[in-house]
Formats: sequence, structure tokens, C-alpha cells
Amino acid sequence: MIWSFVYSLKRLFRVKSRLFVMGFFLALGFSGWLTSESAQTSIKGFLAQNARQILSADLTVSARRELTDVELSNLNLAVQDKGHLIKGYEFFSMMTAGTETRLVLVRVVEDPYPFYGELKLEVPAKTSDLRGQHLWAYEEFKSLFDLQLNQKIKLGDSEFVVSSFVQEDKTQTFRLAGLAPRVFIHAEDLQKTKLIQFGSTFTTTYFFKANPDVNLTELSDLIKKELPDPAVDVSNYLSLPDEESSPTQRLADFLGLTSLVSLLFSALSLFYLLQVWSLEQQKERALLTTFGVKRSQLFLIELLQSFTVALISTLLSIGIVFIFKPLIESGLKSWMNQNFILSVGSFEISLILFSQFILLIILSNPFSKSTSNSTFQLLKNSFFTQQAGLLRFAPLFLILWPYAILASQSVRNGTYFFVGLVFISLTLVFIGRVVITALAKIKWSSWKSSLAIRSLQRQSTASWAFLFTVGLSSALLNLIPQIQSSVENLLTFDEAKSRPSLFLFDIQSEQWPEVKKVFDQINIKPTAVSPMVRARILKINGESYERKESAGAFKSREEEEALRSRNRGINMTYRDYLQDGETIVAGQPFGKYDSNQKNVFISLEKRYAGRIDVGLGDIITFDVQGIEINAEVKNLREVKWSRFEPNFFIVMQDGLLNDAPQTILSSLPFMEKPAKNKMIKDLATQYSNISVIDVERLMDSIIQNLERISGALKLMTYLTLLTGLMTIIFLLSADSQRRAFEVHLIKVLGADKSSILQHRLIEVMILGLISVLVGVGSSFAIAFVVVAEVFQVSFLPNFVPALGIVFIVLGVCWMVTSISTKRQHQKPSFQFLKEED
Amino acid sequence: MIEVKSIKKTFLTRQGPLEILKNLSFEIKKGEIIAITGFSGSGKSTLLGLLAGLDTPDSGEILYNSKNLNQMDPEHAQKFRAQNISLIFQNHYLIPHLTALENILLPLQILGLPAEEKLALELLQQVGLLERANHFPNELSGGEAQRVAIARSLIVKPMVLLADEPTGSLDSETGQKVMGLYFDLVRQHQLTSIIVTHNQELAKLCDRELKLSQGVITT
Repeated sequence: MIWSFVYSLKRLFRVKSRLFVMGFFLALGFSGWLTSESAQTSIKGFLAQNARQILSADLTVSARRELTDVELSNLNLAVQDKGHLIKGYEFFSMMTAGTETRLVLVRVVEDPYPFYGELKLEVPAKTSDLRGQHLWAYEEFKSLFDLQLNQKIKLGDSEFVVSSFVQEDKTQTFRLAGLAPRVFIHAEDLQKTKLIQFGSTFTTTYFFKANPDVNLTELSDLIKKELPDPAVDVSNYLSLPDEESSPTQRLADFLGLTSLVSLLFSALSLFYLLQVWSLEQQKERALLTTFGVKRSQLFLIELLQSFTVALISTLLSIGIVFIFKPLIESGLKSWMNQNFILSVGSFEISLILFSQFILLIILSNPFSKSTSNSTFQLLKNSFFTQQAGLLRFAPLFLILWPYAILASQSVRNGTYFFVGLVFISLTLVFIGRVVITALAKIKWSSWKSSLAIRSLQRQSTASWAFLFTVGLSSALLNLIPQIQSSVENLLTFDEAKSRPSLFLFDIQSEQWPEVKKVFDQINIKPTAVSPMVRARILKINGESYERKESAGAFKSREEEEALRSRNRGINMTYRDYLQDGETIVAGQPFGKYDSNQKNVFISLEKRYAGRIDVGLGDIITFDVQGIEINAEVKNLREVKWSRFEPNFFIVMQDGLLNDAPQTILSSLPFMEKPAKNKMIKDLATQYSNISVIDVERLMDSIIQNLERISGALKLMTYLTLLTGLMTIIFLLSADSQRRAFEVHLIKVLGADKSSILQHRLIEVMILGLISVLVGVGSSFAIAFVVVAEVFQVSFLPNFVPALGIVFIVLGVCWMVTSISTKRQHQKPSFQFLKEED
Repeated sequence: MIEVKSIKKTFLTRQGPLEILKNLSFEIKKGEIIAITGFSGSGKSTLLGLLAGLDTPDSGEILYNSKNLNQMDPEHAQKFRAQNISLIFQNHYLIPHLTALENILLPLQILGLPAEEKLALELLQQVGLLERANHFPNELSGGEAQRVAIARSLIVKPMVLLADEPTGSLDSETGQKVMGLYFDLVRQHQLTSIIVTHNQELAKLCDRELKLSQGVITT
């Protein structure tokens, strides 16, 4: 034991430069992983924080009615001693200011609403200040009503004084209901308004702030169990869906991917290094065996060495992370507008140490090597002169799978990624073998070509090692920008002038021709016009559509989304065309409804279809104002939400709903402020029922966030590309070093320097070309699957970075081979060969 | 045929400059087989590297038929060296992914000369390995691989054959056989040869022995 330990240390000291190279590449991959993990954790925290602000509480229980006494009692029992519960209402009502009357969204609140999420008021105040018939109004009302501070307005049977304007509401989201301008009143003043009576439409919400030790998921499950009516919605901030959080969630997913790619680069470099050095180690093992060292001692030496390398590399990883800590922290702070601390705790350190140790053990494959071979035998049978045994590469693939799962934090995504890498590797083997065999059949007149091709054909293990490492590296290099461009496309937005600045709701059908005239007067065309019909989903394929909760069972993110989406009240539209920013991704487009059709056709937004678990051909039964309609899913659409146009999850064929009770929803493009104010005023004066919402400010803030996320995606892409290029440069340098003997021997046999360089370049460029073309080509297929399955957007191939990577990798192959071959010439061949002796 | 005139060679070491060859001069006639002997570090291999034109002396000159290799332009020198001087090492240094026959033909291909497969097979026959023409180096024994290396050195019909410890990695019986073959072939092809060796028995078989000690010839 002591001897093994001392021997290991001595050996490690002897090969300290190798140790450093191994440690460096391990550290590079793991520091990338560590950074991405920290950033992901932080982003998830940010999302949760954001969700809590939107919810204004840790947990809400809401229904479009009052809770029954039994339900309320059960709720109180469930939350007893666990935190603070307050009640609120939300409903639409007419509000009169002076001579004008308009529909507004009223939020009735109790102290100390909101538990989370700030209401930025023009005149600072507390919720308790609302008592005594005070009211806070969104700033939009200033234009809509010419409303001013301390002005009196009428709401139901009661008069209120406008005591402040809401400049920013963190609970607002970019969803149609969430967009409506709100007024806030105190719960104590509600009764006087007489706005909630029998038959009124309103939503009751109980806001709950939990004590720090409360498990919200368990509490939600308990409340759902106690309040089983599907009409009662129980949400907690940990599972809140939010369209706005989607791009941030994508960033977190993308970070996961870049961390996975960093790890893979690290594993590839390490694998190649260990293979290059394997002959020497095998010789040493054989030699030690001849001295009587036992197999168990050899294994112990291997373990001690791997542990020491892992330890050094872990320290280097932590060092690298701490060097870049200020940069990463300030970057993430600016993206997320909140403090971010990159923490490396004992858990992370232990995990890295353990992972690196296991990686080294598996990649160096100590069990597979025979120690009974004589030194002479080993000399004649080096790793790189043997014919390819593809099983040699098994450790590499054995390690890739768990790593992919570890980095993606998902068995499904990790497995997809792993299968993709295996697919690329098999393609590399197949195409590599076909091309090299074909080249070997050609009678080459030049010795440089024939020697290069024989080397490729007969040193097949070396060729495969090169093909796998450079091919997979190229694939990973291209994968990142391909996914980044597809995800970024989702985040890009149109120029300010072409995106909507005003949303118009509740336009009655008969008002529409007149409203259009108002638009025409100032020569403005709506960016979108959609009829909106309210409906409920009754059945899917004949089965009742109800909340199905899996009590206490583990839920994946996907399952959570599916459960959350079971909101039974929905808005739909009808039309026979696609809007700009919509693409059919599955199924067929449809035209107008024909009364001979068995079922009317509908189009579903792709992710929504996934959430309610519906596919092409499925039948959804809707209740539209008391009439049951069976609709067949004819196609799935992808919607570019960042266009900020009024979009609908469900679009029905034109022709069936045209006579159903409906309102029209429209959006108007960018207008200069005076024109916009005039438009708001004109519409408000002529049509008091129409709600006009100025979305410009909210959109600006969302776009600003999107720009930050887009910047983060780009930065992570560049960093990963840099790591990948460093890996390829290193692999090529190691390969050139390995071939130094051949370079010097050919020189001694009479070849001049330029011929030697040409010979080396032919060999490297053939392998480089196969690797990069197959790697980059097959990475498109992987990117397609990853983008569709993980990021759930359409794949947009981007050939510019792909072409760039092909040229860069080939350029790097050329450059590194040229430089290292020239450097080899600096050493006298005779001296070099003597040393080899 | 080969004139070595006042050559000096110094290497820089951590302890300072180390003069390996000190004003060395000698001549070798055409067809002579010379043994260079001496203790380790006496400068034998350095001298061989200089004679092979793979390294240059700090001062002095080496003339092959009155031509100074170090004064030729690099391209010309490279070609002259490849066509006229062949090397054999202690280790066979065959290219592992080429067969015995392909290894022998390689120097011709490098020089842009026609691949004389017939000549290569003749040489393989002369070294007694005709049946192993298509075998790879790892399928040959050490002695066999060294015989292939000898055949490879002869394929360009060189003027001079330089050998650096050619039997160093072989057992004595195999070494004797290989060197017997070596002397036969050198004489048969009327070559001039310089053999660096520790082996006194081998040195005795040569026409002349030059003993190197501390950078100078002692006999």
C-alpha cells in the first residue's frame, strides 16, 4: 500500500507536465459545467421569484365563485398555523369618470396585499391607505379618462377617490387577461359598491404567504385533495406557468446544454490523451509485473494516480471559476436585474472530484489491460498500430451517457443527446471506412498521398480516435450555434415600428365597421384583427376533461405543464388563414367550414396541444355558449409569441362560429405619442365599452429582458465554441507529437521538409475533412431533435456558422499540423531517433 | 572518398558548453568498412549524425568525393544525402503501417524514382526474407526487421552506408547473422561503410577501427 502510494506520487511528479495538461482540460470542462450549473440554479431562483411576484403570494386558491363554507373551512384547516391567508376578488366592471364610462378590471385587495411583487405608485401608499373608498388606477386611465389625482370616479354604487396611479405592476403579465388596465380598491369598500351579487361574474382569490418551513407542493396537494372541485384552481409559485418566463427557461435549458458540451469536450480530450499515453503506461505495467508487482497493486497505483489528477483538476476548476467569478456574476446580474452569487459549495466540490475520478478510471480502463504481456510484445503492439477494435472506444461512450443525463438533469434529454452522439459516431465510422477504403483503392503516384492513405487505412485505431474526437468536437461546435439561432429566433422581435403598441378588446361585431373608419381617418392599419369567442373544453376524444392530479407522485416539468394547462375556460378565434409569425408544423391547413363536414377543424398551438395531450385527428368537444361542438385537430401551429400580436391557442375554421356571441380583438401598430393619445381618446369617447390598452411600455420592458437573454445565449455560445476550438487544437497538437517519429524517419530516408509537411497535411486534412463534414452534417439532425424535443421550437438551420466551423476546423487542422511539423524539424532527426532508441 | 577536416561540435548544456568533437580529422577510402568505437559519450553518434549530413559541425568540413555537403543549398544537400548516404539504426525503424516490401520501396518513392519492385524483392531475397515481403513490422522478429532495414538502406544504391549500433537490440547469435549478411552485402555492392559500435568483435571484422575518446581519435 505504502509502496503503491509512494510509487504513484513519484510517477505523477515525473509526468507533471502531462498531469497539468490533463488537469487543465478536465478543469476547463468542469468549470464550464460548474458555472452553467450555478447560473441555472440562479435562473431557476429568478423564475421562481418572478412567478411569486406575478402570483403576489406563495400560493393562491381561486375560483369563479365564492368558496362554499365547507371549502373555506377545509382551506383554513389546511393552512392553519402555516402562514398568512388573505382574500381578494377580481372582476370586470364599468367605471364612470365625469361623463365617460368604461369597462375596467377591478382588483379587490386586503392588507397586506401584495405579499410579493411591488406596486410602484405615483404617490407612495400602503394597501391599508385604500380604506375609506380610495382607489389606485393604472396610468393608462390618465389618457382614457383624462383622470387626475384626487378625482372622484364611480364604481358600482359607490364613489372612490383616485389617490394614486400605478406606474409599475410586477404582478402584470403579457397575457390577455393580465394586460387589462386595473384599478385597486380595498375589500372593506367592496360591499358598498354592490358589484358582487348573485349571478355576477367574478374570481375569488385567496392569497397565502407561507411560513419558511412549509412545503408548498405538499400543501398544494393537500388543498387540492380537500377542495376537489376542478373549478377551484390551486397554484403555487413553484409551478406557475408564465409566457414571459419561457425565454428565461430556454436560457436555463441552453445553459444546461452548454455545460453538457463543455463536459463532453473535456471527456474527449481526456480520452484522446489517455489513449496517446496508453502504450507507455502499458509498458510500465508490464515491466512492474516482471518485477513481481501484483495486479491489485497495479490497480491501486491506477486509483491513486486518478485520484491525484482529479484532485488537482478540481482545484484548477475551482480556481478557474473564481478567476471568472466577478465577470460571470456581473453578467448574470445585468441579465436578470438581480444580485447573483456564484457559489461553489462542498457539495459541488465533492461532485466534481468524484465525477473526475470516475471519468479518469473509466477512460483509462485499467481492468481491460493485460499485465501478462511481455515488454517486447507490448512494444510491437502499440495502441495506435493495431487494427481498430471499436470496443476500445466503449469507455468513452460508457461515460458519455451518465454525463449527458447529469448535465441536462433529465434522463430523457440526456438519452436523446447520447443517442445523437452514438449516431454521429456510427456515421463517422461508416463514412470514414467507405472513404478511406475507396481512397486506398486508387493508385497514387505521389508517395506523400499513398503513404498518408496507407497510414489512415492501416493505423485504423489512430484514425478512429482522430475521427471520433475531431468529428464529435465539430458536431458539438456546430450544435451550439444551430440551437442558439433557433432559440434566439424565438426571442427576436420585430422593429419597433411594426410591432403593436395598442391592444383593443371587447369591440362588438356591429361596432367594427365604425371603429375601422376611425383607423382609416388617421391612415392606420391594424396589425391584427381577431374575433374572440369564449368556450369551455368539455371532452377530449369522448372523455371528460377534468383535472387529474397524481397525488403525491413525482412530476416532471412536462407533467407539471400538462396539469397546469387544464384551465377549462378558453378564448378561441376563427379564421381560414395563418397570421404572420404562425407556421404549421404538423397536419394540413384548412379553409372555410363546409356544413357537410362531420366535425369542424381546429388548429392548436403546438405546445398547448402538448400540454393538454392532444394530437392530430383527436376530437375536442367544446361548449360554446351552451352549444356543444365537436372539433377535429387538423393541424398544429407554432406561434412566434415575440411578435406580441394577439394570438390564440385554438383557431377554429371560419364559418361555424361567425354567429356565436363574440367580441373583436385588434392591435394597432406603433404610433407617435400624440397620434396614439388622440386615438385612445377618440375610441374612448365614441365607444365606451372598448378597452384600449397601451402595451408599449410593458413590451419595451419585456424586449429589454429578451435582449439580455439573447446576449447571454450569444456569450455562452462563444465561450463554448472557444472551449471546443481549444480542444481541437490540443488534440491536433497531441496527434502531431505522436507522429514525430514518422516525420524524422521519413526525413532520414531522404524526404525534404516541404514533402514531409505535404504528407502530414494530406493525412490530417483527409481525416479532418471527413470528421468535420460528417460531424457538422450529422449535428444538424441532432440539433433538429434537441430543438424540437427540448426547446420545443422549430429548427431553423443556420448554414453560416456551420460553414464557418468547417473552415475554422480545417484551418486549425492545417495550421496546427504545419506549425507542429515545422517545430519537429527544429530538432535534429538523428538526435531524435537516437533518443527514441 | 570521405574527408573529415578539423570538425568541431559543441552542445550547450545546463552546466555550460560541452565540446563533443575536438578538431577531428580523418579520411575514408572508397569501399572501406570503418568501425568507430569508444565509450558512451565519446561523440560516436554525434560524429555519425554529422557524417550523415543530418547535423552540421560548428567548424571544419566533411567532403564526399570533394563535395562539401554543408555548403550545398538545403534542397541539393537533401537530395545528395538521400541518394548517396543510407542509415541503419540500433532499432530497425520500419514504418509500422507499411509491409516489409513497402518499407523497402519507400526511399525510392521519396526520391521520385521508379518503384523498382523487382530490385526490392531481390534485396529481400538477399536478406533471406522474400516470403515475408507482405508482412508488417510487428509480424517480424527483431533480427528480421533489422534485415529489412538493411535491405531498405540498399535500395537507393548509396555510396555510403552508416550504421549506428546495428546489433544493439539483437541477441548475439542474431547479431552475428545480421552483421555477416551486412558485410556480404556491403562488399557485394562495393559500398563504403561506417559502423558505430561498442562491439569489439564487430569492430575487428571491419577494415579499420577509429577509437574516439573525449572528442578526439586516439588510434
